[in-house]
Amino acid sequence: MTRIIHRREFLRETAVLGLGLTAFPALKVLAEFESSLPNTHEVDRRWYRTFDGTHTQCAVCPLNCVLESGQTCFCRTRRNHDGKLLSHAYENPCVISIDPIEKLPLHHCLPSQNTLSLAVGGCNLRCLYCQNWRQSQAMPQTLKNFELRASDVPAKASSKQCQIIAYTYTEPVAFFEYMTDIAALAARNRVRNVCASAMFINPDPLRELCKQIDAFAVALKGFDEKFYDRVLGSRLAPVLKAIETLRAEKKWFEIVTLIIPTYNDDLDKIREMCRWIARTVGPDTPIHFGRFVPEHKLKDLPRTPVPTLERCHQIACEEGLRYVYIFNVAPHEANNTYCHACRKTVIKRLGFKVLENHLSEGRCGFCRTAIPGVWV
Amino acid sequence: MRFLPDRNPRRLGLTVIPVARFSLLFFAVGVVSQIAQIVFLREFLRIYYGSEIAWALILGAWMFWICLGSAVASLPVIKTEKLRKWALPLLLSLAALIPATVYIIRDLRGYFDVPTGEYLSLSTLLFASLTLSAPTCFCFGALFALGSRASASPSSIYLCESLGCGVGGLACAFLFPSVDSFRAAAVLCILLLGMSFLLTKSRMMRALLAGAVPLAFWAGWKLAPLSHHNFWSNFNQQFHLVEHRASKYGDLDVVRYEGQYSLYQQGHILFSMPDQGELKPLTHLILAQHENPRTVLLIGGGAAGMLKEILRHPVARVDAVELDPAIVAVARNYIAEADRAALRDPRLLLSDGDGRRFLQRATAKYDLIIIQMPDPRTALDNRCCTLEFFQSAFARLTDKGVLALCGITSHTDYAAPEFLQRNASIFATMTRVFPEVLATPGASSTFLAARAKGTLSLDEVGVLRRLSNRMGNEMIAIFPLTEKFQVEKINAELRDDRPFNPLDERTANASVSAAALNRDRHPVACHFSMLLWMHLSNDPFAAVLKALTSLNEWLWRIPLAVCTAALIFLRLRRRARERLLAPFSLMLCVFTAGLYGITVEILAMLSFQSAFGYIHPWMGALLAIFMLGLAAGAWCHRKIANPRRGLLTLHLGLILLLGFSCVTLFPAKGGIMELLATLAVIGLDGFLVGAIYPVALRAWPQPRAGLGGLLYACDLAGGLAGALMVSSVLLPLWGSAATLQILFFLCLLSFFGCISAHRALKKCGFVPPPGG
Repeated sequence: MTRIIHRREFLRETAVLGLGLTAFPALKVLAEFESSLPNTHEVDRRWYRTFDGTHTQCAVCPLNCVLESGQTCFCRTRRNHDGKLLSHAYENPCVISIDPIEKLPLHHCLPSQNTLSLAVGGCNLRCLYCQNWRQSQAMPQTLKNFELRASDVPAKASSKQCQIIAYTYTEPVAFFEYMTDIAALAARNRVRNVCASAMFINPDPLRELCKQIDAFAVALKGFDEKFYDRVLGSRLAPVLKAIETLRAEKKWFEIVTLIIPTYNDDLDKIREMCRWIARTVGPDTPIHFGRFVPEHKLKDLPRTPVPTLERCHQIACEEGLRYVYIFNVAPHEANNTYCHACRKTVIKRLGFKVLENHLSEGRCGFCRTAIPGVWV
Repeated sequence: MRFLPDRNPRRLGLTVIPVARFSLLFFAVGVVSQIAQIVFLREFLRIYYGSEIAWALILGAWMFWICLGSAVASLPVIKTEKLRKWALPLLLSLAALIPATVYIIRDLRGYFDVPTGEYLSLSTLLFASLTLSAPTCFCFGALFALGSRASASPSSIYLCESLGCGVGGLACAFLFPSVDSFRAAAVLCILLLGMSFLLTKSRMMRALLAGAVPLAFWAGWKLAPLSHHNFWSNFNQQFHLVEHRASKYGDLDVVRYEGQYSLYQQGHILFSMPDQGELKPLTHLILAQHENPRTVLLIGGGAAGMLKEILRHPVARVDAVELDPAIVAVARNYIAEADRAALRDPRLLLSDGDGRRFLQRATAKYDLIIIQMPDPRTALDNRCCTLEFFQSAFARLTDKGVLALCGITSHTDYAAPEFLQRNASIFATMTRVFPEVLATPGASSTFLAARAKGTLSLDEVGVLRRLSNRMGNEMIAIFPLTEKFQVEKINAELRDDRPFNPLDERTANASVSAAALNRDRHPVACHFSMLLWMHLSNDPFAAVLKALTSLNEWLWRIPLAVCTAALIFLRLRRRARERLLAPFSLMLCVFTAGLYGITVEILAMLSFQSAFGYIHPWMGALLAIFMLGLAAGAWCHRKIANPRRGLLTLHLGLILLLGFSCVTLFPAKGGIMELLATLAVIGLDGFLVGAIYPVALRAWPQPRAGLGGLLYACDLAGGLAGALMVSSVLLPLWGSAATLQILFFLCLLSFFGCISAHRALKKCGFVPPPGG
């Protein structure tokens, strides 16, 4: 008996086969994602609240994300699971590295020391020029992570001759819980903690962080709300408030500003920023002007002209800031630390490499003037 | 039911129009459509980082709308059969649409409000190309389909259009490779107005058209600079456009900002001037790898500041090769005096041309070969990262010679799989050829490879000592490139193809990398580069492409093999309702021809580039040879008495050509025989594919109005599928061998489909019409 294949039947079967073939990769991606979900860690109850039974509101950063069950915060690391806020960032570092502390950059904190640098995926900003976009703009569970328990970090850092742990590369606010747990253990083991952050964080968690962190490299990325909104997807006011909080908590911090051509290189704004720093947090606060290198989405912008950085440097000095640096340009005179009293070179650097150090016990080796910083 | 044996158009109710008028009209349409396609492609690539997948998407959008236009105009509900009634409005619409589309593409950044320096994502590009090419391409498709309906001989329309496309390709390659796109669009507009003039009989209309020609000419010449300035003001209002130069390798623009000049090629930054020493540490680090470098070959990057630093070493001769001489010519006006002096140095021999070809033909040996090329995003850029290239570089190095591959986008901290897979593949490929390979750390990595073991060193003290012997105690910040931990990290990651954990002692044991080798015929680095750029723009396609990466290549062959086997089985069991399958088989046959044509053409062009270098006019010539082959095939179909048997023969021809391609493409060296073989593959590919369309048209059992357009749509759909699959998945992921195998299965499938059609039509007693 001859079986007739009708056109409709033929088309239906072909469509089913086609859909099956198309769905296969999608299912594979889904399976991969589900299987990669890490062990989660509940966020400290102080940093979120639950309401209406299953809704949560995160209180770590000024976004204060309100989440329904199953939703994830803007930073991509905290998820509401039936009224509990869980962190996927906990014990999931994607970067473990050993770097000189000058790379953060921190020029007034334990010079030439190596740090054990840690980073976890996720960020509460959306910088178009992020140098670490591959991990910062991703969920931690979608990255290739290392196994590293918080309790093991201080000992492992010491075993690698690193007496400092640096939370850097991505935004540490996104892995706040992991950072604070490690930092508390490290402090008990006499290992220092430093943190490079954009400081988009609420005052209370910041105060908690200040108890354990020895120094901060604060990325004040501009001094314009519009720039923060358009290029970083963030707000400036909470950052300024966080800097004031750091000052109030008497923590050592250095300010880092990457100068991006046409975006935040308006010299009037730079002057305004320097004036604010000098008046609000004091002239001893070091400031680093960085040269932009095309990255992430801003691949088609040129590098910052060096004369622009030099003008920024000059403005900062005119506004009374005593320690002004230029980074990402080497060799340059502004890589060095000069004593504000005798103007002699206290620390000579080539980029982030220390060539000479004339500092003794936190004082200028030539005139004995105290140089502010964390030196011992 | 019996099939109609009679295909006389008059009896079918169609209006017969003289073939000569149609021939001229469709020849001109072919010329215009080919040039318009190239112009659109060039403009779209200014706003997106060009890779094969972007090209395929733009061409895909083009073919999709032509295919749709052709299919819609082939529908029986469209009753228009008279020439002037539809041709005139379509031609006039095209005359307005082509320049308008170019103008809008240049303004696109403004419409999407893209921040300065940011490029469009692939999804945005797809959306933009689908939207913007829609009206133009729909008109082209409709024009063809309606033309074939009204013509007594649809196959001659196909022939004339193919011939026109060939001539259009040649015109783009030789006549105006460096004409501004907007001006080229204005020329097309004038050509279309001229065609309309010839078609219309109304005096009033003729007078209007005659008046419109100088207007179009004036608008083209006056609006071109305006549209150009619009592009840059949308890019950034603070950038001041200083110079614009059209080059056959892409438009060059110099913009000034804060006293710094930046050179852009096709809207993407090349470098800034005057040089502020970005390449200085790297150049000296490379030079320090050889104890006494006397001869240096620099491929690319001559004007970007490297040359000046090389010449500070006691070298006897530097050969610098630049693909686009316009880059050096333009940059010469803005670089620092020291860089200009370097360009005048008597030790320098500056050559224009393809670097890879230069290396293959060189007879001299070099102590250092420095490659300063963009990331291997495209097959063109990838040619300097393949096994074959490294082998020829190895042969041209002296005993202690060193090869430096600069500017590979890398990672500084997190070893993302997209970075790692791509770079590990290049690293593994280098390791296959050279006994010693080392990578420098940083966001832009340099891979160093030495001909002899023990040559390379990234020990800072040793490097500085060697440099101070040559240049005195100048302070050079090589520290970021020699930072001990980072050097260890990146080399371990590239060697092992996995992230490096400094706290895990186990990672200290080096394993052998399983990274795929990057070859000419299997450009896997292109695939990983595509993945990387898709991740960069958070493209939803990235997940699909990533999933494909992990799939076994055999998975693609299985469905094709199963379909072929099923057809053979049905054929043997005589179960299929063959009469029903016959039209489908013919459509599949034309679809396969479209897919086959574009696939073999892409492979042959890549093979040509590998063996003979990227020589711009040749690319146009190859395209023209294909189109002329297509036209010859369409012409020769008249010689085939029995179209059904003819189809089978042509399929056998396709299969034989696959075998021939396997043997001849991607030759080890580029001699005259290899050149002839490559040209033969392209010409034969065009010939066979060009013959299939008209033969299938003749073999169709129930001729009806719009059949030509329908089959044309199938042809284009095949071309679209081929362009997308080959450039984005098959070739970069599984290589040319797998691509040809899949093509072989598809040909078999189509072949057996044709046998079914042949049998069914024979049973029904359908007598095909004679040729012509």
